[in-house]
Amino acid sequence: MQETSTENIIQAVKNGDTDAFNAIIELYKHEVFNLAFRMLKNREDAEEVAQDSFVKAYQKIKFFKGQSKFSTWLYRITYNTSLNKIKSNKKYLMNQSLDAQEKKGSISDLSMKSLLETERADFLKIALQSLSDQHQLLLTLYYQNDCDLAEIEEITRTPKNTIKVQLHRARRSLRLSLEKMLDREIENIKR
Amino acid sequence: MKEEEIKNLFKEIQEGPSYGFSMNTMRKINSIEQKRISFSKVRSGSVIALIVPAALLMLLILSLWTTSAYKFEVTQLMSLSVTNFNLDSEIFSGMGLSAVVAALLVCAGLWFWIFKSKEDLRNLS
Repeated sequence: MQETSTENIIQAVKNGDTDAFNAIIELYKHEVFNLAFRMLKNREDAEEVAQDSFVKAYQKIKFFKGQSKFSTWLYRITYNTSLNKIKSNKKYLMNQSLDAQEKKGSISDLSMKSLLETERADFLKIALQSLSDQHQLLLTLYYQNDCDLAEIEEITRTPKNTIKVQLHRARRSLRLSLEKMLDREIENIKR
Repeated sequence: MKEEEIKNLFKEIQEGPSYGFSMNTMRKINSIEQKRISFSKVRSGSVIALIVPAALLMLLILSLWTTSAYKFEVTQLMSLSVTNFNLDSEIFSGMGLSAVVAALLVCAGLWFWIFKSKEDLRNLS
């Protein structure tokens, strides 16, 4: 249903209706931003990349032939733009090490008080942040952006079987991370 | 935990762009679109600027070519005074006619060029 409406919008944009593209931005802005954010770990950069991705998609929309889903094509643009940003942004490399330290700290220092205050979603957010970049990316594409294995293969240009294995490992890592966090909290309650 | 539940949980932690993101993106797209339109207008203007002088040059060469070279005498040109101007004169029917036509074409071409350039500038602003 959504694909049909997206097709109509794409056709309108191709016919010269620039304003129709706003509907596409509204439809995919969260997914595009989220993907960029998971890759860049920085809100400002993610927003810039998300904006650039939409602009690129608009400029190249006449080349979109509909052989794949529009969302897959858009996520591929976002993925490539994020990779380019990572390459060009030296600041990212410096922040990465700082983020890693913060991640470790955020899990180990999570007190019962803060856990009670945080929602279940925040708990998952912290667990997700403790995973490797590749695992975060795969889980984001699979669970948040509703991409199947074939779509992830097209976006990341990684063989489907490799994705399958990595996704399995990512799920296991997430589960272990969550269990570790919960065990720590249970121990804190027992004390 | 079921896949669907995990999906829902992931949806809960989905990050969103700041307020006004769509508006800013559309503004950027519109400005790019405006620049693209302006550029195509300038390009069409530059095409006119090339074609018009080239066409005028062609016409000038053509008019000179049709003029008989042996009739081009300085003495005859000297006698081209307003008081002695005669429509039936040999000068006017030969080289003179070609020169007048060429001059008219040059004037018409220049006028058209200036008019078109002004119109393009008005459209751009």
